[in-house]
Amino acid sequence: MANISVILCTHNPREDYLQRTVDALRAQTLPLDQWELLIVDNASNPTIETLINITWHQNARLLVESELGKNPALSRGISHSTGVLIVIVDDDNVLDPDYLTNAVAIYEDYPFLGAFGGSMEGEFEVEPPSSITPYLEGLAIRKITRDHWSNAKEWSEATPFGAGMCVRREVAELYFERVRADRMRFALGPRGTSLGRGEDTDMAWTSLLLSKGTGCFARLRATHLISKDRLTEAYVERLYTGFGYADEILAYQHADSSDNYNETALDMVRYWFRYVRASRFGRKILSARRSGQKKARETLLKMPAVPRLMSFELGSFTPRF
Amino acid sequence: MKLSAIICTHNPREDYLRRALEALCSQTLPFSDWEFLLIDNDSDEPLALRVDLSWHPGGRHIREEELGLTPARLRGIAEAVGDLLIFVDDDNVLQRDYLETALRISVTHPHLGAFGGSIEAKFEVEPDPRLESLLPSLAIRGVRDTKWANFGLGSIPYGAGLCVTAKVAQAYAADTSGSEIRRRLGRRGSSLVGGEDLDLAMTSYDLWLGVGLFDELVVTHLIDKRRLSPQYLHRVCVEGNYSFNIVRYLRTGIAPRHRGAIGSVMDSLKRMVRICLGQPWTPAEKARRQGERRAARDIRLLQMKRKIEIQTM
Repeated sequence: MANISVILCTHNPREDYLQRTVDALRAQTLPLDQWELLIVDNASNPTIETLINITWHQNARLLVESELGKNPALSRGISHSTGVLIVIVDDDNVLDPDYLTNAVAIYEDYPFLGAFGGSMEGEFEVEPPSSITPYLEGLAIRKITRDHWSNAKEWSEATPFGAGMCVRREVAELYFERVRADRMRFALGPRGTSLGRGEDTDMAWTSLLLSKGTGCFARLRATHLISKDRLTEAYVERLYTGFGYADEILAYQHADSSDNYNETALDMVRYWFRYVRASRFGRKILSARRSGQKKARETLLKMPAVPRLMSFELGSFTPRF
Repeated sequence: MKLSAIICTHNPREDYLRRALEALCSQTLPFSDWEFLLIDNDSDEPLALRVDLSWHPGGRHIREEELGLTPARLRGIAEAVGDLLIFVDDDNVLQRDYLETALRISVTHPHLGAFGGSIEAKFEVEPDPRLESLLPSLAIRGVRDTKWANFGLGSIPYGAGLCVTAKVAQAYAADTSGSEIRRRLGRRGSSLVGGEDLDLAMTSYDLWLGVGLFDELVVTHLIDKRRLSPQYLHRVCVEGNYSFNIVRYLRTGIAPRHRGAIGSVMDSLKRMVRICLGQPWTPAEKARRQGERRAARDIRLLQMKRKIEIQTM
């Protein structure tokens, strides 16, 4: 029977959201002796010790990581964990009761997948403005109706999001090995933007280095609690700037061959064609993405020659998806 | 029996078929692990009279009278006893370790229902460089790394050297013999409409299996000089795109966009922009559009016919 570790990283959480996240873990159908719970308090002020009760779980621990950032927090959690499968939960992810049971089943049935995730539904504190509804995928909301798995990066249907992502231990360990190696390399280099999903994708794609694939499964379901301050145009725009940045960096890091960053005239025409046809907010998103990409290109140009297929930390803090 | 290699052929070019057979003869996989079926698809002179298969203890001649690659393949599927079927064309030269590698992949990747590899071309005469963009429609492809998925069209193997598990092949046979449209897909005589390879590989998806491409598998496609004429290349490209769109529609319900009057105007505008930017359409893009338009038209007809059927029912 597979032994799994659930790692919940949190930084200054919203009390009610964290409570619901923990309650959902408590309601899991997987017997408690088959999984352990590690809660990582990532430099919260005040600490979360008093907020939550984990005495219901025999294998639960509360860890503290003082270096701010999702990667340091996860790294701390993983180094203290023992499971063969690691489930990464954020402090606003309410898992369905059968989530862990299904994750174990998938782990056993699909030995060729290194990382996998599932559907994420949104629960909004307030009704999102209609202009941002087409871009809610940026808030890690996605509906999966059919199982998709693949070992190719270019087909995003099979790339899991960070929220609720299940990773094989060997993949997670390899990822952190690489991040540590690169952190030294980039200690003096520029630090990316503060928003972006870079590190999730990077971790999922690390599977490929072990000749494994990634997948998304319809039977893994969770709910993402979204507070009203995230449902503003400004936040979503900032999010997409981060995506543009992360996409460009990831494309470079995991590139197969081409290192051509120059936009051709045709790309420009395509961009403006799309721009003109987009809605008012769509235009903002397009230009936000583009500015992120530009920033990434500038960053890459300023950097000394970087060996390919090296991952490095994207920003010191990424939002909790 | 672990593996069945199947060649379907109709009036083959003798030297090409000989080279294809020689390549099979020199495979590293011992003969005891595989059988070989030569399906003579209604050739004018029966192949059993002129092709010697005594070099392979498990070699068999089979004659299929119904003309068409799909009927020939169905016959092969019915006769084969291997767990993995490898379809080879009469102008395909397999690399020496092809069968061995394919068998190994089927063991290490039990989640794949169909897979293939790189297809390299060997031209009888050097092709015209202006037609270079059309060459991929001759099913030439380089695979640089391993790629597999249980969705999409990006990792679907082509027909040359196609490896299919017996389970998928049988499911395909069961589906296809009952469906007139799917049976009609596929090259027949001089018609170049393909799509049957795609249909066969995509049957994996129905069985919750994936499809993949592997760089270790290499097959050489011998290309006759007749096939390098601009007319032939153009036709292959148009009909290839046509059948691709039809299969995609049958499988996923995604039809190519039907371009009305405004669409045509927009297309000409785009074309002008491309010319102004110094990147005019390549012959392949032209042919692709032509195939797409033809498929859109036929799919619309099909949809209308269905609508009428539903209304009159």
